[in-house]
Amino acid sequence: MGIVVCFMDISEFCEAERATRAARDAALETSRAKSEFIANVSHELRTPLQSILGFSELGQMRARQDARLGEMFSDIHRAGQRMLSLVNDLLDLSKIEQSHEPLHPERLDLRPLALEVVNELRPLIEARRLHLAVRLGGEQLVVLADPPRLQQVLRNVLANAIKFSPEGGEILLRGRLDPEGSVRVEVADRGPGIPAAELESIFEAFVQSSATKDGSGGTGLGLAICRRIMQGHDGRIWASNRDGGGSTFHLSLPGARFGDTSPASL
Amino acid sequence: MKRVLIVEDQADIRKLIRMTLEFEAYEIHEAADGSEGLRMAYAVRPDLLLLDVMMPGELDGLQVCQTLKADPEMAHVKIVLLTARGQVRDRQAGNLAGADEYLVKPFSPLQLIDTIGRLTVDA
Repeated sequence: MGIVVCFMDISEFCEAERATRAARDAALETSRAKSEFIANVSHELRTPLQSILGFSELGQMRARQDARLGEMFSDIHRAGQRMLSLVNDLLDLSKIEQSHEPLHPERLDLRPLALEVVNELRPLIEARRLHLAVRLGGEQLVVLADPPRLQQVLRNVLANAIKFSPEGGEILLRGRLDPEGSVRVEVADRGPGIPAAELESIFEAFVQSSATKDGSGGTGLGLAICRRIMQGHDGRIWASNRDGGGSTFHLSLPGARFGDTSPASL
Repeated sequence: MKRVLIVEDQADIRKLIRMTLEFEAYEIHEAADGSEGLRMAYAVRPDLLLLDVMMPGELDGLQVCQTLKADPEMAHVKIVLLTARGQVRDRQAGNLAGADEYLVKPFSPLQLIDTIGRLTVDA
C-alpha cells in the first residue's frame, strides 16, 4: 500500500475569494452610505417643516378673533402638511427603489390583512356614507408577502376608491384565487373613472389622472409606490374602467400554499 | 412651577417650543447644544428635558440622555427626545438611551403640550 500526497496551489482561489469579499463589502458600504444620505435628507427637510407646521398651528389657535388671519394660517398649515406627505412618500419611494429596506415576505392569508385595512378606513367610509361590499370568499388566499407593505398597497388603493367615490356610492373589494393559481384582488368604485390613455401612466411618479387631479390632495406618488411594492413581490397592479362608470384596481400575486417546501425567491 | 429645559440647536424651534408653552405654567430654560444642555441640566435641575437628538458639537442628544439617566441624582428627570429621524432603528436607540418619550419632527404644538403635561403630572 502506498500513500499519494497531492499538493495544489490554492493561492488563486484565495485571491478570488478575497476579491469577492471586497466587492461585497464595497456594495454594503455603498448601500449604507445611501441609506444614511436618505436619512439626512429627511432630517434636513423635516426641520424647516417643523417651523412651518408648528408656527402655523399656533397661529391658527391664536387667531380665533380674526377669521381672515386664521384662514391664512390654515392655508400655510395645509400646504406644509402636503409638503410633509410629499417628503414621506419620496423617502418611501427611494427606500423601495434602492432596496434599503428589503421585503420580509411571510406566508400568509391575505384576507385578515385586507380586513384590518378595511377596519382602519371604516371612519372615512362612514364619513362619506359609502357602502363597501367585501367579498373575500371562504377559502384562504395564501401569498408570500411582506405584511406592512402589502397592507400599504391595499390601503392606498382603497383610500383612492373612497376619495373618488361619489357620496353614498358603492365600493367593491373582491379577493379570489384565479384558475392559474394567482391570488387576485379587485377594488372597484363608481368614481369618475380614468381616461383610457392614462390607465398606465397613473402608475408613474407624479402623474395623476386628469379626471381627478384637481383637489385629489394626493402626492402623485402613491400608485408609483404601490407598483414598486407589487413588483418586489413578483406581482402586478393595474387599472381598468368599469361598465357603467368608475374604475377597478387589480392586484395579482403568485399564489402560495401553507407548507410549500420550496420558498419562492423574493 | 415645573421647570423645562429645551436643548435644541435650531433657534426657531426653541422659539416655537417656548411660544407653545408660554400660556402653560412652566419655567423655561434653553441650551443650544449637548454640552451646554448637560451643564444646564445640573445647574437648573429641570423636571423635564426636551432634547434634540441630532446636534452639532461633542455630545448629541442620545449621549446627553444616557449620561443623565445613568446618574442616580438625575435619573428621575423626564426626557423627551425630539428627532427628525423616526425610523425603528432610531426609536430603539432612544429607548436604549433611557428616554421617556420620543417625538418625531414635525410634532404638533398640541401634541407637545399633551406629552409634557402627561409626563410632569406624576413627577
